[in-house]
Amino acid sequence: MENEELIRKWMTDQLTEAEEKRLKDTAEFAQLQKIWDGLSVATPPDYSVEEELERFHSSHNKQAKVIKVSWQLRWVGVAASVMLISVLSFLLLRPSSNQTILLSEGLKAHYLPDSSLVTLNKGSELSFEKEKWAASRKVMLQGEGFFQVKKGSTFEVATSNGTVTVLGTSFKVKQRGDYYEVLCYVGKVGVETSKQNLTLIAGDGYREFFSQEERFQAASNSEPEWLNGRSSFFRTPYYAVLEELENQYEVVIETRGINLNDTFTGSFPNEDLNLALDAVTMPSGYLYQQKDEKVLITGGK
Amino acid sequence: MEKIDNVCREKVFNQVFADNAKDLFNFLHFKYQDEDEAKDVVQEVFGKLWDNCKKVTIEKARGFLFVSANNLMKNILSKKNTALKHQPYLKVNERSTENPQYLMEESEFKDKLNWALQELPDDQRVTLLLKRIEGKKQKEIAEMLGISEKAVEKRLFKAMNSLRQKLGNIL
Repeated sequence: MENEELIRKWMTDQLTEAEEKRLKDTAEFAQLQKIWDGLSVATPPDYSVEEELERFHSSHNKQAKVIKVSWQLRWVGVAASVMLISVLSFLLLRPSSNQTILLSEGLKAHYLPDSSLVTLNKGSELSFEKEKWAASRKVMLQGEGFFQVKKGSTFEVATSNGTVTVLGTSFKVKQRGDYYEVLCYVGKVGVETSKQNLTLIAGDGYREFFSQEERFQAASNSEPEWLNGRSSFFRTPYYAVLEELENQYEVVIETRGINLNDTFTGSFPNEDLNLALDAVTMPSGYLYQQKDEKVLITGGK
Repeated sequence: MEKIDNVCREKVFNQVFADNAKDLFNFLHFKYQDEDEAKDVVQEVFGKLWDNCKKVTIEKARGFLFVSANNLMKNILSKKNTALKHQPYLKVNERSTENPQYLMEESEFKDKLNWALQELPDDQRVTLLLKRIEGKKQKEIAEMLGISEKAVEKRLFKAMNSLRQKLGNIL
């Protein structure tokens, strides 16, 4: 075709006005234009990046991560996966109209049906009933989660220790054993436990453990530090800090000669066990020994 | 400072996924005309990336993904005995204001165009569709396909030219 140069320029938007005129006068231009227009109405097939990422993490990622841990742990992992799969298939396959969705993959953002966003820390689970979602936005949490809630009807996060109610905001909820903490980053949240009924505004925190309860002011972060690979604490009882360490590294910690109710302020990295152990022991002059997944922390002389 | 130049951290990895998955999928789908296989191959190459995350920097990730995906897809399809499931690239608009005669002609044209697209050599088709459907720039296409910008231009022209010849009688 003699007009190749012109056509190539036309397809890549490089034509000058004069060239455009010349091209439009050629015999083949009408045909090319019809094809070009015909192609424009094409709809590429649906591809949801979010869904595919979710699919990726639920299949591949788990196996890849297990490789890093020891043999025994690997079997624990396999057993846990099998259990998770059975639980999931039970929940997803049972022929009930009240479908419960269970999210448990840590450190990754999950979209809820109203596109509110929840990020779970390691070792945490969230479930909700999909069918009822339109009527009430309610999720059940075990562990720790950071929520970024779309404005709308009331949004509830229920745990065994208490319930948080919000309208549209971001906050985190942590529930590990008897330790319960709510920290509000943006907006306002309502907290209801067996002991208290209160409202937190941005920067406010509230926690309960054993028989204690307290309000506190947190640093002006906009999200929990574990989203960036650190676990951070503010006057938190030492046993809760160690529990988090156990959770992050899948280790078992024993202590001797330590008051577990002392408070700890500071943080530790979530990807380097030795650094993390230094961080939680050095300030108090404690010593530690570590072998495989066992850690012993002892008080100083 | 923490090192974040490789893609081992989940946050970084997720970002790489978000930045590349759709382009990868479109590339594979346009080139090899198999939507389901394209989706699986995207999953698989991200698995490869995760396994090799220590060796692949963020800047190299895109190139790594495209090259691996192309090889993997070729491999899979060469082993497949079944004929390709051709999925139409173009769907007919449902514009109720048009008269039936026009709609029929339009739908016939789309069918033929689909057929002609499927007949194009893979390299030409993927180039044309990335440009026309995804609106990719010449430079982006060149990077995705690992060819020069001039070669992109050439392929675009060849693709249009052979579509015109194939559809000659109904244009």
